[in-house]
Amino acid sequence: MKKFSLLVLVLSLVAATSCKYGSQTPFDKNNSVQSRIETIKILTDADTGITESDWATWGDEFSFLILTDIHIGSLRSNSDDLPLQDFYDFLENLDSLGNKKPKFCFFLGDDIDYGDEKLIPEYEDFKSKIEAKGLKIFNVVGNHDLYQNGYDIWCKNNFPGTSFYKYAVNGVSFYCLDSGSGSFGSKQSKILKTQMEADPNLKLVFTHYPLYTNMFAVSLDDPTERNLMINLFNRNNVIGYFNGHIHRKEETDCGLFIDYSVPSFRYRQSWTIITVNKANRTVSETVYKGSK
Amino acid sequence: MKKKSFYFIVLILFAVNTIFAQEEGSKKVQNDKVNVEFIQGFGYNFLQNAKHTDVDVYTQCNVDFKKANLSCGINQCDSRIDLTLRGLYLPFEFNNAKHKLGFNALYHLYVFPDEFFEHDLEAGGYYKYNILPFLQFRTCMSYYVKISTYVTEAPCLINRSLSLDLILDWQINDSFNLFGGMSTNTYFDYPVLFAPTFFANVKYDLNDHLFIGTEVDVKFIDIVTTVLNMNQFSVQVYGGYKL
Repeated sequence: MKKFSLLVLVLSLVAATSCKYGSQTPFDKNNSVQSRIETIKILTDADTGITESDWATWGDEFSFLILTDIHIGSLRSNSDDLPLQDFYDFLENLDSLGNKKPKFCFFLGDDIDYGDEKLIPEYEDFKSKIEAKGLKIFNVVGNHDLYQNGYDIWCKNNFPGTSFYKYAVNGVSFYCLDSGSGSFGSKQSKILKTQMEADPNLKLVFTHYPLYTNMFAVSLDDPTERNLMINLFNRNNVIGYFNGHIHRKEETDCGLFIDYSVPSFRYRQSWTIITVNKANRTVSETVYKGSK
Repeated sequence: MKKKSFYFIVLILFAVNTIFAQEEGSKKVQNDKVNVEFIQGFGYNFLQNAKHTDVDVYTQCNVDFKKANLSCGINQCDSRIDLTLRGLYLPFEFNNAKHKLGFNALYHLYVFPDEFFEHDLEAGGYYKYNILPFLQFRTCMSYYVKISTYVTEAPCLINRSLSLDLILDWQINDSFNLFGGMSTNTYFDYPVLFAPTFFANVKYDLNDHLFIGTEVDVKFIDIVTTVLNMNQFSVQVYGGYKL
């Protein structure tokens, strides 16, 4: 009887926890990437607020900041685990980074732990500290952002209000892809292929899932999709593929580009500066860690 | 035109299989230790993914020994080809063969022309439990290695992962067999954990030699960490011949 009670207790706890992650909304249409993607949004300087003249002054080398897997409101640990003070101190001293001073910022998904609007004020407060330093935040959607029918909330609260978009400027194209459901889906893959093949620029790709990890699971599960992406990127001038999801730092040589898995802000207390040199086609990565 | 030729070849193969089966049939009657069956099937993908973009056409051959099973199969979808070889050996029996335990080994080759090749090597344990004379539970847990090679500059990538099958098999009567369950890897599809396929299969024996069947497959991507994302929905129909 005791064993049975314990089993019921454990199952109830699992059910209660998983409800937060959206087990009660298994058939929402936005669960599928096929439903979320209709077309690619092409951003302009007016959308980003970054002008051609900004790019001209930055020259061939520019840096940007990446934060991923912030998990505001995480059910796994309390918010004290976010290295907020260390990060805010870092923001105060951006000028000391010299030519590595970031010009803009990318959030690579899992901004909030489960798609609940109650977590948004804390998230907005965090974002405002970054934006106050003049860093425009570009976003990609993560699997946690989609829990509890969270896609619409994510779109409402994150620039540019869609999960599949492109920004091309000064010979560089930034592609942000939706892999929040663990897959790119055939529709997005097809649009991406058409876009990339018509685009001679140097390319950087941002999304939530890694193409490859040496862990047992948690990369893109569909190897056909992954392999086609690797070939597409190798054929179309991609030099970096940036992602989060696995919470730890990993780099995979994919031929003519590197698959960079960036460590989590919450679970690795880390944030990353990426420096790209257009002329040399090089990407360098500097990881900063909180003091905890 | 290519597709028409392929279907024609498949039909010829099926006809040859059938003739061969008829000739060999008399041998089987003399030796009931070996059962051989040929299956020819077609799968229509209502919800397509990167691999299954068209009709799947497959041929499979199973050879059943008393304690072992060998099988091989080939699947074509568009210009892509899968080839699978599988061996199963169940040497351990307990409780009047109510429980059977053994090993499973498999090789799978996937050719995607002008893009990549995949080689999957799988080895693990296999367990059968005859719950009732007409009801059987089967499970297989394996370790597998996926080796992907590319036609572009990408180096070879190696994935190490696990696979799990959970299958319940119900022999409804002498002719009808119903089985279904969950498999992280299916016969021609080897995703990285955890993209399980849930399936239900009905098989009907027309007579001692001929059978037909249908299977419904639903595959979800990364079912552990994402909200439910159905990646493939297919219906297969197949026919076969037992020697």
